[in-house]
Amino acid sequence: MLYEKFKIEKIYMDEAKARNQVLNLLEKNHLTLDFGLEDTVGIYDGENLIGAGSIKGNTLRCIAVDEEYQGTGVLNLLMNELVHMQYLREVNHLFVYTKPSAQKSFQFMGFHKIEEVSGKVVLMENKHDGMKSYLDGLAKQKVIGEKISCVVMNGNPFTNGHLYLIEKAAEESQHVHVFIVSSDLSSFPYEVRRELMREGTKHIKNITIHEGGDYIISNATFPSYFIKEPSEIVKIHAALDLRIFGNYIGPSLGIHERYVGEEPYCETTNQYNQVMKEILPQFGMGVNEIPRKSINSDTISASKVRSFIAKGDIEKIKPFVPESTYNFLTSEEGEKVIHKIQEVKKRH
Amino acid sequence: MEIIKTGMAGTMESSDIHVVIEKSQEVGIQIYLDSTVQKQFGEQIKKVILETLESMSITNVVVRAMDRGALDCTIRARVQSAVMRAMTKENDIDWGLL
Repeated sequence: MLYEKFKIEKIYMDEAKARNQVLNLLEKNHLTLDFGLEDTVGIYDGENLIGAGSIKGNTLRCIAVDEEYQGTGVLNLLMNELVHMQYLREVNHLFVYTKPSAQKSFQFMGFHKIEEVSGKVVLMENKHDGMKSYLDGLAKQKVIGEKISCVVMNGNPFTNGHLYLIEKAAEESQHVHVFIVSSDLSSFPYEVRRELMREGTKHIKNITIHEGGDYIISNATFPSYFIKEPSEIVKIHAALDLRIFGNYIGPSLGIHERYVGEEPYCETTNQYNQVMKEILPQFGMGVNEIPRKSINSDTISASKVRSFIAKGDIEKIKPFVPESTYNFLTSEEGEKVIHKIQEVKKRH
Repeated sequence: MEIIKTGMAGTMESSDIHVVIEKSQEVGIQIYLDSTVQKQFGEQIKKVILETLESMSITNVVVRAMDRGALDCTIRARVQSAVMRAMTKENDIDWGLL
């Protein structure tokens, strides 16, 4: 067989020569190198790099095969290796973001399409029933009512602003489904964010708190590597995320309206909100953008809280957060998180 | 026989079959099969997978298989090793049973 002479090697991206080879190969395939890749492998024909692919979290990324070698089994070899690497890390539910033109190749590798932003990007997973079993789980918690709403938040950490948004939605609806972004890329770990949200909303009876999981704003699967204009990235990612919400998640819970906080600071979140207003109505869902709550003409935001933490002004946080969050920050466990935030700040 | 983790065996190369064995939340054996020869041999491949699992007394499990035209003996071997790995018994095989 032709490809028996090819060899598979781990690529160390801090070696200039190997890195340049990968960059070259990606560029030829109109892809760019993603940041934060955890492992990269290459397929070599002699000294020539003819295929490369990487893993990050539960995704396979930056997969490219030299044009001259396409259709010779190089992609097979590469995918075997990447899937096996993930298997050794016990990550079995895998996702691939790819260009629609490559969809067929990945289908042949056992990936199934979840959603597409036409002409731009396709999200695929390696389980036939991945999305379905997630939705089946959600549907068990469905509540029937005239107005069922939804809030998606990171809660890093849970503030009075988050509380205000949930309270407002809960007042105006029969039931509210709250999703916590579960990707662990925030300064406050997922378990802490969830506990603070649970504690802070204990008094509200008509809400259900859900784990965001792999299908709602999962940062680990932010698709950026094949998009040329960096400004386009957010828009396309947002569209994909919201199409999944509109097509699958919303209907399985019978959601009528999604509540979001107005976003005056963060450009990414603001753009996400704008795209939401375009896309969700296409699926028959409303978007309710609520102005930020402020205290003494000072708007509340979790990033403001984090910047107080970074400076060590824990007392200043008090008016911005529920008692439960404040108590956590002054606890022993809270000090560890504070310490971490301050450390990171120092390094930058 | 208990499935402890996800077990995987085989490759996506021609004439091979890639088999993944997973714990199931439901009762019974569920097989998802993709094959390049699905129309001709889909049923036969499923039968071989099922028989192999039964001979190993595996009852509640999800099988995800991607076939590239593997022969029955290959299918059996891949299913067996995926199951042994799923039971974390790959170094502890009773060859007489296989």
